[in-house]
Amino acid sequence: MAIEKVSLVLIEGSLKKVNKTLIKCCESGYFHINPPPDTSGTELEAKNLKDKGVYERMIKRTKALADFLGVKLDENAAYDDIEYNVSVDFKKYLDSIDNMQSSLTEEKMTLNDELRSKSAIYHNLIQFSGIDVDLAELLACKYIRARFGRIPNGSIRKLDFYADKMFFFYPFERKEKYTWCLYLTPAGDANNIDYLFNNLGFERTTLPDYLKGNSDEAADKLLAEMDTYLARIEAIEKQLDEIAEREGAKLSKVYAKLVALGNSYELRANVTVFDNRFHFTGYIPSKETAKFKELINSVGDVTVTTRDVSSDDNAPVRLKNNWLFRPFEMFVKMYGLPAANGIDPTPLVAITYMFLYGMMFGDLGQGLCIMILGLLLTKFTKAGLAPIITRIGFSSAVFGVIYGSVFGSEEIIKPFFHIPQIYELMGYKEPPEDIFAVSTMLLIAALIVGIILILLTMLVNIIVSLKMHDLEAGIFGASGICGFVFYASLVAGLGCSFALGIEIMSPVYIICLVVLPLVLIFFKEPLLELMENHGMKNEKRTKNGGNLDTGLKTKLASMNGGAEGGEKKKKSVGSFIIEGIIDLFETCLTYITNTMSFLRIGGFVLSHAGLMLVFSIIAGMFEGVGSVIVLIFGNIFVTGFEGFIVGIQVLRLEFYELFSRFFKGGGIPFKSVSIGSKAA
Amino acid sequence: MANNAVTAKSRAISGKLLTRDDYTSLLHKNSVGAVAGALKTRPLYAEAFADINEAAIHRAQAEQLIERSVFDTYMRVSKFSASGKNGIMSFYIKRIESEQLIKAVAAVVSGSQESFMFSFPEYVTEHICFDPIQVAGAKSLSALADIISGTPYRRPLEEMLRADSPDINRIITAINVCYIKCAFTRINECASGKERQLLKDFFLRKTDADNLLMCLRTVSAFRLEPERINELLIPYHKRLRQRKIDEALKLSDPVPTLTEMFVTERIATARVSDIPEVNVNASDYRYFRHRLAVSGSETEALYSLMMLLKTESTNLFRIIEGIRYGLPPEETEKYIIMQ
Repeated sequence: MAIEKVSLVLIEGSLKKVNKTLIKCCESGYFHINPPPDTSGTELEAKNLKDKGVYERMIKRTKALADFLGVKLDENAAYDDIEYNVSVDFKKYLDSIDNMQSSLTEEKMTLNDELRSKSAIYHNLIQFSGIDVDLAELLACKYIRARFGRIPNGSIRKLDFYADKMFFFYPFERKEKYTWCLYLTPAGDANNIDYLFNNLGFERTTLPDYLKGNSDEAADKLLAEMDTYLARIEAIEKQLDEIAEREGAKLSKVYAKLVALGNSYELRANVTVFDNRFHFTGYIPSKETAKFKELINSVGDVTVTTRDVSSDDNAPVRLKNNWLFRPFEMFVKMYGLPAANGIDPTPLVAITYMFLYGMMFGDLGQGLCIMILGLLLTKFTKAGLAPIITRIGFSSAVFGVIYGSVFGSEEIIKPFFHIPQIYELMGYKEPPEDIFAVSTMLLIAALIVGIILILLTMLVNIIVSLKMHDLEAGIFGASGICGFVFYASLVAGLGCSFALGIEIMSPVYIICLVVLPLVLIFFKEPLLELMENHGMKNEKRTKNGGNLDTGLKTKLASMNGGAEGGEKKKKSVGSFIIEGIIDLFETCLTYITNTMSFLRIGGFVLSHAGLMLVFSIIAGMFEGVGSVIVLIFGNIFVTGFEGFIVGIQVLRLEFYELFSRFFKGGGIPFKSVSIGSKAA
Repeated sequence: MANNAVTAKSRAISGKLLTRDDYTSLLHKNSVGAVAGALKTRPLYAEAFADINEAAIHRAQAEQLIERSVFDTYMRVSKFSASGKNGIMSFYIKRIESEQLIKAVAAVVSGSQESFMFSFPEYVTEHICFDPIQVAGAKSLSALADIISGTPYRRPLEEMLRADSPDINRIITAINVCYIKCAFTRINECASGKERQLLKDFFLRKTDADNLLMCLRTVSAFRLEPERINELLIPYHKRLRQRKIDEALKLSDPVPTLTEMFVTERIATARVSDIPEVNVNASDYRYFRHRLAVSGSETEALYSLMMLLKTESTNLFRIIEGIRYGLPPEETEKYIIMQ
């Protein structure tokens, strides 16, 4: 149960070195930066750094140049060999690249415009393919006007009505809605005929007067011209490619450095400046101290001071677990990060989660399938749940061996209740037929598991609370020493009476181990006050620790006019008794409900066996392939449906029955700064 | 099944009609091209406007495309009709046919055959009983009588068209009567019992609206005598009985009485306009929306939809016209009928 030890780091140095120092902190990969101290109201003449991004314009310019050159920029490129440090140097370099490419790029853009224009004309011209007259001569006719364009198909028939008008109509290619056409008309009638065609929906296409030869020749010439343009564009692109090849790598490095410098400006908001020297603080893992100091000292004119802060509530929390337990950190973080001076419950979660899942969904075949699915998801995705799926799949397979269940069949492997020593121990003379025959024992076993887990978490709570000097939770709480004694004694007494027939619940036993703890819980407030008066430290009552509950109570108290620091309002005797009785009743009820909640473990074992039994009966109704299909479908359904539900139920047990007993949250997550990190 | 299909499709299409927000946006466009561009994005008009050149499109072209969209919608839905496209559903084609014939008569009288040809929806040519090019080529009404001699319009129109001094209004009324008679014949053939009466009432209500609009226009714009006005009315009535019209026309200001006769409280429009014509059209619009929502008859549902689409296209024409003549959007909006 490990929370990584962290050290507080104070870095100070010459203001000139601030950027480089921040970049080094980012490069370390394990530096958590603190927000700047609030110096308002003090005599210190300090200021925070937050300059506008001077590199932004240059980053944009680099991107534009890269676009022109077709260079793919990589903001993660290594830029150690780029010696430019000030904006003037970067500007000079970018100017030199600009000089190389600007004339070529401008020419390329002009040629592209020309190409587009010629291409549009070409596409219009090919609609009039087959005109065997020189277009230039046709368009230059003095007494005849030629109009090229398109007319709606429906209007062509209407032209018969205007047969007496002075125009000649030549249709070309007919499309779905329009027909490309040409009409010729004497210059004197042009206005009337244009009006007529306009009313018929004719859309004119203007052909340039530089077209020579008939339509096909003109189109060929246009094509040849376009080829020339394309060739020139290609040559320019080749030249640009050469520049890109020569300068691309360096441009990318320059870009990466500019981005890093630009982003480091965001972090400057956390830097305080006194007397032309910068100061900022942060946290690093204690084991990296020497390495970090060496890294920062390499900047020069910068000093690094570290301090151990293992008992500091405000230190960020970084969980540290081995490969087996690490994936379960996700569940812990979902609930909340443990307090810096608390404990990391990940190993407990990992072990109990795997154990409970395997117990509730024990099947060798299905477990192995889940495990393979988990392995595949781990390999091909970055899903945080994938490694957990692998582990619970394995656990399911192990319990499958114990239950003797392989894809629902209990005939391949001998189940545990068929082992003579075990079934005799359970009180059977012959091996029970199936798991349903041992259902009562199974439910009792589920309760025992629940009781053990509850007691275990109570112990954890006692250790954590006493470590954090929280006497209320550690001694008088429902999960404290008193609660532990009460619960353990009651369970032991009832267990011995009913299961073993040994009567240990004598009046002395009941008064000392059952009633007394409850009385202590009832009088916890006056007792705590008494202990504090005798100099015992109770963190929870004197300070708002990481516990959210305490924070809320204090807030409520202050809203009700209570003094700061948890000083409590005096209660009347009546109110004290009523509140105490209600609290006590609730505590006792919680013990019962929490214990009963674990019955679901046995319930799911039976439901799994039941579901598989249903599918094997349905499969029995079919023969051959049909039977196999039903079994395959049944296994897929049960694995997906029940596997998912069991996962949720176990998580529920973890969060509601176990975590609520010992977890002290409120930890600040350890966030390593990186290039692009925002201010803390 | 088929019955439900037409009704369901008609209702579904009514959900794609332009909304108040759409109209507000269209009213503030500053060119016909911009309106066309906006209609490109609306489901009912997207197909017709798909290939248009927004920079070059002009008013007449845009209006034709809107009409084309409405016609295509009719064709799409009517093919699901149980009676087939030549059954009761053909009333809509008959309506277009009669409208075009009225326009042709007016074009021959005013000598504006070219304009008729420009605006003629060429896509209906194969569905109507006369050749539009021949009709547009008629130099006189008697020549027009020759051209339509092989059509159902010959008998009711021939005498009037060949008269020495033809009365254009009587000819138009006769064409409208032809349409109503044709619709009633189809209703008698294809519907029975309650549905037959319901459909007839439905058409008669539209006749009431057309008659009322004729009265309003002639009274306020042309100040015609009551006898002359009566000659222009279609002799079919539902609520707007001849006697009531006669009584109203005797009043010094018959417009409020006439409007009240038609715009009943039940279907009174939410928007009260100062323009009587808008009130009548808005009332019509609400009536057809209501019928489309509740009707169990496919004919009534499709007819209601087509009337709603017609109102929508009229709205769009007004918007385009407003833009073309630089009218302020608020001014154009007064004439827009919307939900």
